[in-house]
Amino acid sequence: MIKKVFRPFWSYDVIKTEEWLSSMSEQGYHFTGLKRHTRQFYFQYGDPDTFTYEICFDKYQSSQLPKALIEDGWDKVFQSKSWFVISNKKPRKEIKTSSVRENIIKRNRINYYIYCGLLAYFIMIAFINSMFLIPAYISSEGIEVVESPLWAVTYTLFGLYIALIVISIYSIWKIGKTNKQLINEMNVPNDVLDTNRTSMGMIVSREEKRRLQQQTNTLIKKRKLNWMYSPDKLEKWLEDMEEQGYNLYGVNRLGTVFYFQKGKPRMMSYCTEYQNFAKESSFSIHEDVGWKHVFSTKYSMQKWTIWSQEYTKGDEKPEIYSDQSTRLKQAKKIASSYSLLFLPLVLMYVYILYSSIDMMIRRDIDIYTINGINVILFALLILIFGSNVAKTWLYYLRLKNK
Amino acid sequence: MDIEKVLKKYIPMSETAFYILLSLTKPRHGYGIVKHVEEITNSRLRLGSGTVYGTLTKMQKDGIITVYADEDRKTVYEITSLGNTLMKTEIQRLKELHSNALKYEGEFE
Repeated sequence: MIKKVFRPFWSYDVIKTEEWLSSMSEQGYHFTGLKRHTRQFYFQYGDPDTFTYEICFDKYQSSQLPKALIEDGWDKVFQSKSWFVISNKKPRKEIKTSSVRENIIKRNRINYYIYCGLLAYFIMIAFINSMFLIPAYISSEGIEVVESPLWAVTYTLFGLYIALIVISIYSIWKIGKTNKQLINEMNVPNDVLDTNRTSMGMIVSREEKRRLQQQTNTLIKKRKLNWMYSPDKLEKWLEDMEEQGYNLYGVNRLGTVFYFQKGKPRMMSYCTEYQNFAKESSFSIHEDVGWKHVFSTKYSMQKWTIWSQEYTKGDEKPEIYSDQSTRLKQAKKIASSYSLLFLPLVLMYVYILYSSIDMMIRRDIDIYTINGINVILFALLILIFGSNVAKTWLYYLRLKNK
Repeated sequence: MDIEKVLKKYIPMSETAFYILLSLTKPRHGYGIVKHVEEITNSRLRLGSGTVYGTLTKMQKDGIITVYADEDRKTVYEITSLGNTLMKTEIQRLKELHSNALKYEGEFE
């Protein structure tokens, strides 16, 4: 006997779905497959048994499972494109190995941002529409509603619109919750996740700063903006400060203010790491080999992390990237990501600038007007964004010629 | 990736890639790889954690290695049969290199 069960949003909460599959198998319904487009799960009825399931997502996973998983009793029971499900006859407690969740976390994050974008778009539409409608309601003339069969279309669209908003909000909430669970499961070192920690895992909150300054008055504050476009200069600067006895105490949340404490000169290596999408597993490798987490940007996209490690004179200076090819590859990634981010804007602004100057010349408009201010503003933006992109490529060239 | 593409992309192998794969005679953590390479090269080669992580990620995409999580949910890297074939081919090439090096070594003295 085959049983079909509809389960929408199953991929947003894989842990729950896995538990559900296990409980189904305890009732004798054994998972055999899944139709992704219709969100239907297929079960074969048989003897009740305890199975443990794991849902995996991997764009590159080869068709065979790792040997260690097979030896531990795991078996692939279903695959559809990048999704696959593995099962194990043993109960969870007796299983030693598991799949790596990172790809699901990444996929969830991308979906999270897509839904946030959609929601923002929907709210904007609602806002614009209400700007037209509300004044009409309020005005004394009132609105005359004309009877028409076409109203059905309006109501359907409105219903659809509400449904999409509800789905977006639900997805954002669900994905956010699942990802927290999945990241917790990974045992990432705590100071990487807990951004409020001070002293060694060092992000300084405003209150902390005030307290410390009152207490000792020894914190030295240095502003450092836009270091992301030439990270090598930041590393060098921090290392020089340490050599002069200014020990880095902490960084503010945005990564724009660095706090130092006057202490002993230290030989420190500072390394920055850039990731288009945050990957927690890289954090544990760095910590394992002795790097201390100094700072991370808050969001999981375009994530920057600063690492530090003390070393003794005579020893080789530790580096996160030990060979030139990976170092260059990383720099290229930074340069191309920021180019992709800024260049479309720069091009758009150049076009706007060109057409407004053209218009001002043709109509003979004075520079000291709104149009003139606009032109100056856009020129400034082009300069700023353009120089950011140029800086990243200069950074790449500096590394290349080293 | 199929075997021809992998061989074309990875052979000749960089020292970093070779030693990373060479330490995967058994599944290891990233940290385990760094330590093992340090040991078998008598501390000559100290791989940076970012380099190891980047190389492993690339190899995973190409199907040379695969990953799973151990009891502590830490990522463990395991070589695949594709990776095995790659290593055998590369070691053959290095053997030829080595025997020729020995054969003609004297003429450079």
